[in-house]
Amino acid sequence: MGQVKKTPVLLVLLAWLFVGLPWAWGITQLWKNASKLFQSSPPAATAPASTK
Amino acid sequence: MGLLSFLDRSHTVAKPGFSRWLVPPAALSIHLAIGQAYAFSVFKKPLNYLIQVSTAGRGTGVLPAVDSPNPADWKFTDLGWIFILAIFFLGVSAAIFGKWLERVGPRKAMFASAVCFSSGFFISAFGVQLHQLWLIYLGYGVIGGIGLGIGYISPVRTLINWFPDRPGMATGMAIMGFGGGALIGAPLSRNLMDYFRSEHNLGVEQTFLVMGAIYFVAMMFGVFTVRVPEEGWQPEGWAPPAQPKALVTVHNVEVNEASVTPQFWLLWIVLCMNVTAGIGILEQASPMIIELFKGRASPAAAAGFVALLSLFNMGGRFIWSTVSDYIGRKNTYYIFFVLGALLYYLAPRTGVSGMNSIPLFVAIVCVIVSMYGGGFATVPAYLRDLFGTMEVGAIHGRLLTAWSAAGIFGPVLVNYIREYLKNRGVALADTYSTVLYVMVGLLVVGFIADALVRPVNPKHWYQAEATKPEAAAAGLATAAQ
Repeated sequence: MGQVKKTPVLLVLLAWLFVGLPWAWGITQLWKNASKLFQSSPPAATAPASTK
Repeated sequence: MGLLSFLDRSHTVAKPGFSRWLVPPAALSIHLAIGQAYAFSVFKKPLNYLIQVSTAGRGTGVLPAVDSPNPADWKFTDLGWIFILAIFFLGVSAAIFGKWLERVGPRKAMFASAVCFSSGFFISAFGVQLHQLWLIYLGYGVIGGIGLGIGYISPVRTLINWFPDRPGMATGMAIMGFGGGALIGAPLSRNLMDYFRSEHNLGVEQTFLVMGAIYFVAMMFGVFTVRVPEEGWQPEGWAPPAQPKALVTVHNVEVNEASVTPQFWLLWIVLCMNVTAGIGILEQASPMIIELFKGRASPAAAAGFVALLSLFNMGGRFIWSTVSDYIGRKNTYYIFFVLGALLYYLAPRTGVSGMNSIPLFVAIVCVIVSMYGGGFATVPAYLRDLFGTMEVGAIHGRLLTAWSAAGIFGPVLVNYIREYLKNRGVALADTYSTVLYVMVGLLVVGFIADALVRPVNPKHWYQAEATKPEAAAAGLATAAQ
């Protein structure tokens, strides 16, 4: 009886990298946009009443 | 035909020793590609300025926020139909081709999806060059939409067979890819247009051509990698539970038979209500945060908020469907509807006139949107529980008409309510809360539909299995426990 040839772990890893890398790039790009929610200063609340 | 015989189902049966963990990346390569559809809006502005830029220049500058002043340019409302057509044909093709997919297997279906989806880009590029909008409708909307439908259901169906021990997690992975496709599609489109643009050309045509080619190659990875398990295959060390959970059947129901069961239509309502309610908040998320927190949330923050919601929409697909493997599909939808209704009710109360808390508002909407995504991802496993695996892909395809219906019903409902209230002089911030209260009503309908789901009557079981009445009676007794 012939031995069962198992899928190499490296192949599985490469397959996940193939989809994972562009995905991770996309998430990074999105996070840059999403972070604006936390960065933007509240226009009215923080503005001093008068600068003079 | 010999050349394409590698697409046949018989050539995709996995040999012993094949790792099932190769199948999710194959599925993801398809879903991450077709999920680009959600990022199509990045083309709307450039498509709106094609003639203006080709005649007057300024293709390298920032396009103005207003519509193109050139009357020969396509209008925004006309461009909106491209995406609507694509989603409509997603639902229609999933319903029509589901049965075909069951027969030919995932590889041929994924190949057909890749050909349709890429052709959609190529035909659209031709449409841009000739400035013929109908070619884009036909290309991206109709043909591309058919590619979306076939590509959406085939990987999901395959994963259900490979992961009988964790069907929710498996389908959640693929459907999370569909949510994540826009994350790649949007920046990729912008970068390509930036690369190709010149003084008199916005680079849309070239971007379409390159994206068609890139997505075809990416999807071919899925086509070559996907396998189906051989008959009777089971994961190592796993056996079907001797006493199946309530609502989980070991029998099969054929797609035409499933379509006449109350369970199918109850799930149709469950999905439709969940999606409509989700659209209700997604449609107005950006203006809502600005209006509820007047003077505190800037347009830039609102854009960031929408981006954050995309992440939760995507993550929710995997997390909730995985949770459903442990707590059951019915309970998962109970959470969506009960917790959802509570959060929809609370969201408008976090504004400046109430609790005045942006973090609380953001957290609430993020959870809501995660449940919107979770609804999409959990439904294939729910179908598999009720109708078995035999034709679950085809049944899923037909159920997706609920998505198409919600895609039209949701925005129409939201816009109609807001318009009606505005005309009656209701303050803008209050129109948002009324819309959300209507959504609570929809969630209650969804809750009732979910509560009414019972095991499928044995008379609907696939005939070869349901020949013995006493066996059927015994099966019903077990399933009803």
